[in-house]
Amino acid sequence: MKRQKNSMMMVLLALVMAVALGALALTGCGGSSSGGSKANDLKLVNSGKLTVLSDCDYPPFTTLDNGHAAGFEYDLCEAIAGKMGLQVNYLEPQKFDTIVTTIKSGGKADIGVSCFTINEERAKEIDFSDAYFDSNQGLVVMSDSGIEGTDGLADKKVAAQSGTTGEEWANENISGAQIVPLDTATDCFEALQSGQVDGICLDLPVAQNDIKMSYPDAKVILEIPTGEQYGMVISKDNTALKDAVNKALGEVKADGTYQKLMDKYGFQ
Amino acid sequence: MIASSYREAHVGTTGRIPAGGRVRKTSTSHRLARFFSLLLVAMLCIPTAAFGLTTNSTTARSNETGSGNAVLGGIPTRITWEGSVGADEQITAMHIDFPSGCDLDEAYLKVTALEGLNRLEVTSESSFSDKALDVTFTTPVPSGTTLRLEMQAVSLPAHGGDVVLTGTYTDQQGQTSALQDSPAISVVQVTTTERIVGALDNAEWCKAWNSNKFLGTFLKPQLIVSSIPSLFFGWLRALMLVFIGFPLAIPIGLGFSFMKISHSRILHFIAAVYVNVIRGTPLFLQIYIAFFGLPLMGIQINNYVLGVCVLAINSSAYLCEIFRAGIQSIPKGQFEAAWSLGMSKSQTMFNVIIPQTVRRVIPTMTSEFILLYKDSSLLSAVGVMELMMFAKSITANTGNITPYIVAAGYYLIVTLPLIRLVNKVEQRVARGDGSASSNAGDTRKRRKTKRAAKQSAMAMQAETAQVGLVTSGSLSGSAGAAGHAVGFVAQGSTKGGPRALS
Repeated sequence: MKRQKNSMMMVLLALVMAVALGALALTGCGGSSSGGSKANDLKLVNSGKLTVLSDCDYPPFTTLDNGHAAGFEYDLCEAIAGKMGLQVNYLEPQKFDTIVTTIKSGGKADIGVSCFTINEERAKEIDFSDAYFDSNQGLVVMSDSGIEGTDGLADKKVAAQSGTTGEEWANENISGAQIVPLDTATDCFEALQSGQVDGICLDLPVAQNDIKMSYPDAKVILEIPTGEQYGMVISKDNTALKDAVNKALGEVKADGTYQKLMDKYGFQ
Repeated sequence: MIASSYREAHVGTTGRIPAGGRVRKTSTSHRLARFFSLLLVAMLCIPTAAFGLTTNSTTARSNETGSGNAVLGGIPTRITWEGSVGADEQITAMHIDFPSGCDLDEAYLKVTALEGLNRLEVTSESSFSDKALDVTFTTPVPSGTTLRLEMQAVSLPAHGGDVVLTGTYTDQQGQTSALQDSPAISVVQVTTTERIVGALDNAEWCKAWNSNKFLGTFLKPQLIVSSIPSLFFGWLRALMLVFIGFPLAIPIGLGFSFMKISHSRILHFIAAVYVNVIRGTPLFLQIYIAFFGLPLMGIQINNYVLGVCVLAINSSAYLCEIFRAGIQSIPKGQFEAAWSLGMSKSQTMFNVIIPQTVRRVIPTMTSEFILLYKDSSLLSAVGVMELMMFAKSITANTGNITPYIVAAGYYLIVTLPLIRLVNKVEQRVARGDGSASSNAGDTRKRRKTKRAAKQSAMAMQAETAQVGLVTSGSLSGSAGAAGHAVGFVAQGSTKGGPRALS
């Protein structure tokens, strides 16, 4: 028994040390990344590179093409980084609802680009760039379900991607429904197809694209005019980067590159 | 006058009666009036039966911390009013009245205008007074526009109840008309938890604590307070999943362990494939297959039931191996002894071998239980509302890690005592296995020594009992380990006595 007590003390000690180390590491990260010498005062994680974090699971905006990031947002990031004289470095995909936290705590990536709707709740944690896309929400059900609107979904299950404005909308507007938060839009469609849920709520362009590409037996029953806009997520500690991104975004819009991208992906 | 009858008429035609609003209190004369005005509208205005500005919806964002979905009074939230501008109308200004008890001190407005699904650039000026919002649109909002007013940081009445927004709008001609009553927003009274959170929000020490990036992210006091009650139900559900799943896994595992040690090659093969496939693939994958695969085959099972099944199947494979090892660790002599007493194969198994195995496998089984309990968190990925899922949804809403830490606490509440129990049982088993005398050297307190003395006395008794039996039944077997075992043999032989001995 004595040995056991000792070992418990050791475990406690180890825990305390781990926590302390974590704290050190976190606070350390905040201050150390200020060594960007090339780009003027942009506190970049890797100098010369614009390190981007995305969930890469929201086609046509952000997706993986043979293991490489692709999509509208990827092209847009390349264009913006081009204007800034930087290279784009897409990190490994990370779950959507963790990206804002990661950007906020800093040290891993410079910007988060994953169809983040500019809203007040997120704006408390991080800064947004200027808007780069106008979006809306869509409510999707299976074509043969006979559900016509939100009334048909009362007492049913509605899936939405965790942490999205779609989840928020569903919570606020579909009374009586149980909202099931899932990790990705693909999970939502899988759950819909398999009958785990009766409806899903997600960004309209993504819903339309997914239905066209992979789920022809589902349909959008409600186009919800929310008028939300996507913005890039940047740490509040890095206003210089935000200004630079906004400047580059303005240039990309002004010189027609943006419109070319919109045309390429069939957006109006 | 006309405008008000319009309003009444509209309420009548849509059939939507704001709960708790003034319409509910209408007397018969009002109803008659409504009927006539409805008739009037129907006769006169059918082609252009449109409002200047129709209220589509009014909703409030849930401001309950945690996984709840209620709109609480007294705590800032966001109210979204949505309406459409009617044909041939242009709106230049709006005025929205809030019922008494609302706090608009911090409130601010965001206006979104859309034509169909496309955003329109609308500039506006807005101001909140004590009880009302005034918006003036610098350019008139054209007809056919969907107008969204997001009123941020509005506190609804703390005592709860239904909140109905009323107001007026001004069209291009400068004519001011009444706005339809909004659908009621039901507001819930502030809970104790929320009250504590509110107090913490204002506490100085709390602000200082949260200003540290690490403490604020991992151990935010407000979120600890609000997470504990809202994670509690998730915890219960996680417990339910394992407390049903694990007992289910035991007979399945036992069955497969019999198959595995059986002499039939086919049975052995089936069991080996089952165990190897399940132990050789991640539980996460099995969950995905079960949750997304089965429904595609048209098999619809309740999420919780399916979750329990997957956990049970997964655990049964591990338990199978635990039981098999346990059974095979029983000295061969025990089988021989039972056989020599005339017991059948199943009698041997259930009366002699299994009881001894139970004692040996309990520590490993408990460890397996702990593993299963922790692994139930994987079900969160497929939408089973359990502990991890609750924590995840709060984290997703708040962008803070604290709920995960609280969830860790909930896991530890169960696992730590179990781990301790495993250690104790293991020690006891080790002591029972012929090291009873080592207790003498243990410098423990009196109570412990007493207990140890009791235990060693019991061990002595068992040993003497065994010696008795060994001599009478001339059994072979290792001395210490067989202590209890032979007790069982004796019991077994009395139970199955008449037939076995005859």
